Amino acid sequence: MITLQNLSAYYDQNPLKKVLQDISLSINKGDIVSVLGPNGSGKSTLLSLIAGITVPGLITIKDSNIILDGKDTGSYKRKNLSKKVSLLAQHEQYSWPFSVFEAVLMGRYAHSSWIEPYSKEDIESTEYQLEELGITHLKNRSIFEISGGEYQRVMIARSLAQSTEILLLDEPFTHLDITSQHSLLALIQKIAKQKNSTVLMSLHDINAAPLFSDKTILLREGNLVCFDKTSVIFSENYLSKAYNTEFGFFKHPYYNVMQSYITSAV
Amino acid sequence: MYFSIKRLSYKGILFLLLALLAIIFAASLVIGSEKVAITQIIKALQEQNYSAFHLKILFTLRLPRSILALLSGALLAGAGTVFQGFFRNSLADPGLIGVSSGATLGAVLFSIFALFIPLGAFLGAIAAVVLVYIIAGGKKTSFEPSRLLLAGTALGVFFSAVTSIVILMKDKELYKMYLWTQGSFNGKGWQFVRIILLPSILSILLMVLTIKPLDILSSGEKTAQSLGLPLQKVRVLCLISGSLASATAVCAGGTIGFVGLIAPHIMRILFGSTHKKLLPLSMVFGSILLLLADIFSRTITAPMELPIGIVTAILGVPFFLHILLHAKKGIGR
Repeated sequence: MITLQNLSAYYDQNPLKKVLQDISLSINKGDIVSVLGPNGSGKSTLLSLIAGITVPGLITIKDSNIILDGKDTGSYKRKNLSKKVSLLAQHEQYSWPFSVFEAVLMGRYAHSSWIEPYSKEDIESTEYQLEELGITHLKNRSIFEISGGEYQRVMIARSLAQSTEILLLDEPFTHLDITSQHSLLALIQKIAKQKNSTVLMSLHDINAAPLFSDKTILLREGNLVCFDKTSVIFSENYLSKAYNTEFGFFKHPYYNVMQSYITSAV
Repeated sequence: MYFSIKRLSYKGILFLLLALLAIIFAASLVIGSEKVAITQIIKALQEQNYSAFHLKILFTLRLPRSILALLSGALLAGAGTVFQGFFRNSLADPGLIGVSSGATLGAVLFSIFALFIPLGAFLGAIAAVVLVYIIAGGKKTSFEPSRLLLAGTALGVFFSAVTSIVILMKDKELYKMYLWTQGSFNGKGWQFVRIILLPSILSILLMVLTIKPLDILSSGEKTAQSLGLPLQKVRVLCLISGSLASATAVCAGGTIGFVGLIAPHIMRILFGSTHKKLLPLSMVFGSILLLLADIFSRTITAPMELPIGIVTAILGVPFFLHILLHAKKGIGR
């Protein structure tokens, strides 16, 4: 279980503008949660902070707490925290052309020792994730020579190889075509349900949220607009509040969930 | 050719390179302005004539010199590998980012005040790399390659200028100091080997500790942390191991550029990016390169000697330009 208490944060250059303001909420084990909000609403910052990542210049306010299984994330050792939470960060690229296998194996780092080579178990787990994501055939290819969709599968395989209870994904489908996005969403959902993992995923495409998540966190300018069942968020005017735009809703003819469309830009 | 090299196993490649290193090391003992024939050495040994001229050349001049070149090459290439991983940039080389110049300045300053020179070199190297890190935007999440190079070059020139001023003020030892800053193994005997042996071993051990972290670090700073890498500790470890290796190499041979650039780069292209392979291969290849450069420096203008830094620069600059012009995804990829 993840509990956020009065989470507030700002960048040292601009202490008056909070990138997150007084966010308190609890996420239960096994929940699949979407994080929605316009650009700059604090989605990435929220996920980074839950993963315990130090972002240069980002300061959290004193009485902010992020509690994971009864312990403040700040009191975890880095490796131990990484055995519980994984984050697939946005906009980060490898500096060298590793092979697909090598990249996925890095997901095992938290489970391996400081200096010894990766264990047999690490190798097996890597092979399993490659298989599960359907990228075994790319194993020896360079990560710089595969397509965007394949690359994102590699990154998700790496996150899964970390075998954490909590999976944080920061806009994992931004550059993917609609079919890749859809099949990866379905796959993540399936795996999460199987393992009873908690998933928090920020999404650019708001209509992906009802297809995928039970609950949704809605942010605007660092404030929590609403945290509720996704079906609730997609029926009231919460979305209008967050995105400052009028929305209409309709039922998805195939999946039978609510979808939104923009009616006017304010 | 290219493909067949790639198909060799890592151990096979390492073995081949070590064999090549052994051959070149042996060659470096007999090649020079004064030819030392193997037969003469064997003859002197058989006659137990240990004061024989050729044996003297071999043991008091050539052997320590070749050991110094071998160690320096390994250390420079190792430091290059570590700094490239640290800055996430394949143009990071102890010479290009001003670390060697910093070490030289530290060493020269300490020698004037009659302090322990290797410590001065180490402190100079650390100071340089910290400065470059801050100027190149260490507080931001990623390093802009051009900033890194500009900062490194500017600082390097500045350190060299200060070093020149210091040397000019102490004109007695001018020539020797000048040669040293240019990079040379000339006239450095066993006492130098003795000084650098311990720091060499220490820095190699520390660099070995960076192998796994460097792989993780290359995934990006947020990702590296989320994978479980304690970023600050690893940064300090990289900084200390790379600086110690650079400083030790500077103590052995002065400022020698480009070895730390070339060796890891070629090895990465041929044998992949994992540091488990990259670091050892680069170090062996660095030794090979520097031994060859040293042989070259003392034979091409014999009996005069070229500073080895000039030889590596002449080899390295075209290579550097090649990386710069042909980098696929921006500078230093």
